[in-house]
Amino acid sequence: MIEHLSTPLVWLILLPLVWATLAFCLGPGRGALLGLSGLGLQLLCAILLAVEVAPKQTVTHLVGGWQEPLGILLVADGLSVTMLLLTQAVSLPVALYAYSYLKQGQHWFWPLTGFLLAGINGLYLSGDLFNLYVTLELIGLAAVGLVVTGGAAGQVTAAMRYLLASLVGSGGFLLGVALLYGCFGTVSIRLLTSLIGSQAPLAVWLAAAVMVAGLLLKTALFPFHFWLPPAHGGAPAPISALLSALVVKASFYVLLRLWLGPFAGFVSPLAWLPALLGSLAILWGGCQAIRAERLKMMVAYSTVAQLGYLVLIFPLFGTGSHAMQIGLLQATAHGLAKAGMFLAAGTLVKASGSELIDGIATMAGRLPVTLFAFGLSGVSLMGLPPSGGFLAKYMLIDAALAVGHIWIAVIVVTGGLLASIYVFRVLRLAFLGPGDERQVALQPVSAVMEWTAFMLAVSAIVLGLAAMPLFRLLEGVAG
Amino acid sequence: MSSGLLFAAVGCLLLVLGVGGVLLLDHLVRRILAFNLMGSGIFLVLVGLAQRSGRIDPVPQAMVLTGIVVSVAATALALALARRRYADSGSTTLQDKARREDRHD
Amino acid sequence: MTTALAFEALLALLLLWSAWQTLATPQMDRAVIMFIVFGLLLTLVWSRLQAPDIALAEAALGAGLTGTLLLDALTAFRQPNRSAKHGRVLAAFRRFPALLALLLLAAALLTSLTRLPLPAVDLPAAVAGQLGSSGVSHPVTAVLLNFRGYDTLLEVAVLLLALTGILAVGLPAERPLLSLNQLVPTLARSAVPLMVLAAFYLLWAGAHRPGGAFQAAAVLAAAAVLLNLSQLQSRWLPTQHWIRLVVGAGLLLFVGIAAALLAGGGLLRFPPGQAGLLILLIESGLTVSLAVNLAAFYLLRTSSSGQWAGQEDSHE
Repeated sequence: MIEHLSTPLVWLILLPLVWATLAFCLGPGRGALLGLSGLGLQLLCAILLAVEVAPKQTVTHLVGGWQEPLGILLVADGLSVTMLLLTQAVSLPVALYAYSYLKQGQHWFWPLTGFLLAGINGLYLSGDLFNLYVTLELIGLAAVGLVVTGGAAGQVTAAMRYLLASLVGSGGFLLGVALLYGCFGTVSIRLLTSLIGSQAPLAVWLAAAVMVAGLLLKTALFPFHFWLPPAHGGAPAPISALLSALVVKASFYVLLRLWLGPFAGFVSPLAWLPALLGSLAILWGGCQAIRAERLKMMVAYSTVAQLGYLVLIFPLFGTGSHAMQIGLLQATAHGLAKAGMFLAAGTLVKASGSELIDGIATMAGRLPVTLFAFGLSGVSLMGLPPSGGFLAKYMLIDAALAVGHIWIAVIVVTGGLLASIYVFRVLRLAFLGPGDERQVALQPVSAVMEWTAFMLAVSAIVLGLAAMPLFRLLEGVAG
Repeated sequence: MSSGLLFAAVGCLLLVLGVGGVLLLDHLVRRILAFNLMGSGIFLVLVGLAQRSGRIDPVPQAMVLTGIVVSVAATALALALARRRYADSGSTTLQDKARREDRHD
Repeated sequence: MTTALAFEALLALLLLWSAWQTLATPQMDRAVIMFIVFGLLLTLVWSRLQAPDIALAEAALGAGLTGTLLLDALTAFRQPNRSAKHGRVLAAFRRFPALLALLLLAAALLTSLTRLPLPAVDLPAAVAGQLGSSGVSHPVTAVLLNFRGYDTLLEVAVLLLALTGILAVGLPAERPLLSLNQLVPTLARSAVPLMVLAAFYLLWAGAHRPGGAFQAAAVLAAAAVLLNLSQLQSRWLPTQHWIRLVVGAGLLLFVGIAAALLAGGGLLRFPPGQAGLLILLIESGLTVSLAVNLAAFYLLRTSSSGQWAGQEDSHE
């Protein structure tokens, strides 16, 4: 009995639901203690689940005790456990930061974040397409609610645009679910994978097309990225960190599952298409980040670019390379580094009182921990050794050259150069800026805000030195 | 042609109309209406295709019940945002004032 | 047979016409009315598709509550609701590439419907086979609360989440929805008790025939809206803590039962003997909290003054 009650997989979904609801009942601005302790327990659950999954490769749970296709199957494998670990490892420090950042005010950060995490964790564990649709909606609505937090007019517009894009995206996904159910009579991913062969009927092709398009819209892959920069750049810093590091990865994960699962039989000749969009994302996002005037907009455009790397792995599937490992390493490294960078940027903006990149100049030599965190995150985003970002990009180039995709290698190198331009632009101002006479008084920022960003940035670097455990988790994953 | 297939076909047209409306129209309330049309279209495809042989299938019916509730929730949130947008800026669209005037010229 | 088909074809045409009108008619208030007409026609379609549960939900939620929310929102837009630019679908023809893509999608979808494979999995048979141990005898309720009860759990969370989002956005109070005449309060006084009765019936009926918590909650929420329209019920404010407590309690009850059942071997794994009772318990709790949740979409206002705190009236 105790053994059943202590299923970490189920608690990863129930815990955030419970603390979100309790925080909602407590009222605006409250629930921080509940949320933080819940997040701590979730991290523990994710670790326990990883320990459970590592030897067995997969752990499943039948909800309601019903077998597929009647019931819903929860599945944890190396891929989902990695994403779950990333989610809990990023959200705990971000929530600590938020606790310090949002202290006053009538915000609903805690319940919204709880529902967001319930949705994300539920998504990573779901083996059922319709259930995935519900988790996608949970994530989308929670993210929109978070974007409004703080309440400036610009955020409302960004949130509205985000909501419409998100709803159209999940609409496309649900249409695909409807078509697949019509063709096969089930929404179980496992059953569909065995039922759909390489000779797919037109309805299945269409289902794949609308689902992939909907998910790309939610992932904000170029040219569907239009909603991301205002939403991620305009929200309060801890929320931007959650959105950029975690939320866009969730829809990417579903895309990956579909691409390698139900649709694997017939989509692989089209793998160049997402990779092409990814290349454009890297170039376009990089250029826009260089041109940005506001610090957080620069970081947001950097997200547009970094998401491009995730889809560059698609042509490498089935070529005998470690495409899945590369993709997950990139997702993890970007998640940690981007969360660290957004938090550091938030601290800089709060301390200097200026949202502009030029405002950083007044920082020169002050807030060294935060500036160092920003720089370390930048190192991983540029792909300099020994960071996680470096290892991911190095392995990507290596794998691409091994199968003759020279263009992928060229794009990765170019993307790294663009990233170094926008990161060094900030660092140059920060370290070499006019340490001038007009020393503006800084607004006080808490040590928690400084050190959480630093911790995340350091983990992005350490990931490059200690990626082996991650790869071991992934050994049993198809790809 | 069974009623299931007929209404699945109607659902396809509704959803295309709805997606077009969400993407191409300006007024926020109109776009929210279009989103609801899109949702209804998808629900018709889901149940209509599953019941195209005339046999009742409770599973997609239950899914549509879930879907309708999610749509109502999304609509309520979208309307709150639209009203807030109007109160902040006096605009019923997502475009900025200046840009809209440009386009009138 | 042919009369039935002719009726369905007519229904299909009317449905498409009302949908087109919803998007194309120049006046916004007329567009919303057309949307409500669309919802009522859709209710007929659902009953033709032998989906009475969806028909009930569509009438109460899709057309009823959503329609009221939309009409209420229109009163917030104080500017003339008619504009030369907005709402003209034809004006969108400038955006030719998008339209072309949409037409292609429609054509492809319709073509795909003519060449569907036969489903390999027979899920209706699986539902019928396990109906006996689900605790209820109505198949849709069995799917909703037992076989796929986990979806429903998350769906309740979505409703609560939307309410949280609305609180985060903020909603000012405006003029009441309609200019009131004497009839509405009289109507409300007689209708509301009947609606409460109907809600109880729907909740009880859900176990063995169409109905259930969501439909019952929608009827209760509609009753609250009607009371507000007849000025017998004022708007709610976020300072009324009971609203959040009632809404939260429903979800907590559901999660609590789901988690307690883990002891029996699985999330939401109802023991066949007690499944009926537990499902009734969940549904009763949900009826109350969902009713408050849905009513709050309409009734809740984050300020009573018509403006957000500290904000000047900036309308031209």
